[in-house]
Amino acid sequence: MQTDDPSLSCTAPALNAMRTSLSNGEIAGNVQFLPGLSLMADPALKIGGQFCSPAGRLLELDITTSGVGGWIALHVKLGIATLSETAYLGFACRHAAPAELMIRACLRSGTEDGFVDTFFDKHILAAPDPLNHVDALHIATCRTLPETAPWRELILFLPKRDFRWHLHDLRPFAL
Amino acid sequence: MNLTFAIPAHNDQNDLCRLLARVQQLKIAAHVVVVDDGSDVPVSAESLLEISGLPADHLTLLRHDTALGPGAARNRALQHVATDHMLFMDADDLPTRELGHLLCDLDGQDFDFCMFQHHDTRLEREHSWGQTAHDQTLWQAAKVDVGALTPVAPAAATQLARTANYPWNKIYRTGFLCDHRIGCSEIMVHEDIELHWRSFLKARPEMGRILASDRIAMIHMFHEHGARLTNRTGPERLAVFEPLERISAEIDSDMGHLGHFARPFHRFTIGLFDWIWHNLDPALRPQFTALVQRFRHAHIPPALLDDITRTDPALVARVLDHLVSDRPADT
Repeated sequence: MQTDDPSLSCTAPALNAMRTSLSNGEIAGNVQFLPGLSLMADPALKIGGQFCSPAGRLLELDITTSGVGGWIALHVKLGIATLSETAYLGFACRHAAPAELMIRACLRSGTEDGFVDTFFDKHILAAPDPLNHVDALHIATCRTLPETAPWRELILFLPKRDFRWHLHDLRPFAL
Repeated sequence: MNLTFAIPAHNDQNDLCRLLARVQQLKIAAHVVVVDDGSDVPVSAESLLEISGLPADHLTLLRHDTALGPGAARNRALQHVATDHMLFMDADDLPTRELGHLLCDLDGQDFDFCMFQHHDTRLEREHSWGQTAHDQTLWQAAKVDVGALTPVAPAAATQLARTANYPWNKIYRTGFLCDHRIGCSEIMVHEDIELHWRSFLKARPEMGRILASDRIAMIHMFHEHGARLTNRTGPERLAVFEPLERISAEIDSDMGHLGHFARPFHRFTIGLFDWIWHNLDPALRPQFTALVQRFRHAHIPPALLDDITRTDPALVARVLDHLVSDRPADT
C-alpha cells in the first residue's frame, strides 16, 4: 500500500512493475524476475520449468524438480525498515493452482548476523478456483520481530516438488 | 490489439448505453458496430455517443427497419468489421477490466479464436462469482481452467465445444470467420449454435489455433422473466433443427478430421432437446417430439446414442421419456 503518510507505507516496487509487464522465460535455478522479486531454491532441488507474467497479473510458475532439497521460495523485497509506527504488517493475495498446494509466508528481517523469520499464522491454500488470502502480523505481539532492520522481505515458501502456481496479485500493506 | 465490438440491439437502448460507456471506460474497442434490429424507437446515435463518451468515429450504427433477429443482426455487423479481431456482444452484458488484460496478452498472438470465462449472474443467488457448474466442469475437463492464456489441445476442444453456445465469450480473428463463412443462423433463437460449433469445427487446435483464458472477462446478465428472446417458448424454437442438421452434416462429411466432434455434438444436442422441451409451450411439444425423432433417426447413429447413454444415462432416459410421452398418436 502506498500513501502519502510514510508511517503507513509498505512499498514493493517490483510487484508494481511486474503487474504491468509482460514477460516469460525458462527457470533453471534461482531467477530474479526484477530487482526485488526473485525465486530462490535449494540447489539440491535442481529446479527447472517456465514462468510467465500475463497482463495485469504477477506470475505463473510451472516448476519441476529433479532432486531433493530444503526450500524453494518467492522473495519480495519490502521498502519498510522501521516498524515503530506500524500496528500491522501484512499482505493480500489472489492466486490459483491446477492442483491444490499449500504455501507458508514469513516476514524476513535482516540483522547484524543474518536474518530472523517471522511466520504468518495462516497457511495459504491454492486451488483451481482463484482464492483470496489476507494475513497480517500484529507487530506489538511479535516478540521476535526486530523493530528496525536494514532490509526486509516477504517470503512465500512453495512446495518442494513439481507444481504449477498462478499468483494473480500480491499486495503487502502496513497499517 | 484492435478489436471491434459487434452488437445487435432490439428495444434495449438503456443497456446499450451502459455497455458502450463501459467499453469506452475500459478503452478496449477500436470500433463498435451496433445493428438496431427493428427497435420500436430507433436507436439514437447522438444519445449513444453522448452517454457513453465514445468518439463519433468509433461507432457505426446500422438499422433493420423490421426485426430480423439477433443472428441476422450479428451477421450484418460482421460485414462491417474492419479490424483484424472482433467480439460479438449482447447489448445487456458487460465486459470486465480483465478483457483489457486479455487483449494485452493476445497482442501479437496468432490464433483463430480465444475463448474466455465469464460471470453468470445466476450464481449470485449463491454469492458465487464465475461460470455455471456445467461450464466450469467442462473447462476443468479440458484442463484450461487455470491460466491466463493456454493453447487448447484437440481433445480439450471437444470439451469446450460442449459449453453453453454463447457468442460473446470468444475473441475472433475476423479473417477466420470470413474465410470459413462462419456466422450466425438467421433465426430468432438458438442463432448462435452454428457460430459456436462451426468455430470449433473449422479452427485447427492441433496447430494451436484455439486459445483459452481463465480470465472472467464478461458479465452475463441472466434474465429469468420478461420479453427477451431468450425467454420465448413459441414455434421459433422449432427452427433449431436446421442449423443442427447442417452441423451434423458437416461433421459427417469429414469424419476423418471431425469425427471426434460427433459424440460431443450429439451429447450437446440431446441436452439441448431436454432444455427446449422444458422451455417450450406444452402445446408445441408433440411437434417438437416428432422433429427430435426425425433428427435422431437421421443423424444420431444407434451406436453413438448407446455410447452417450452409457456415460449419461439419466439425461438420455429423460429425453427418451419426453419422446415417448409426447409422441403424436400417428407415429
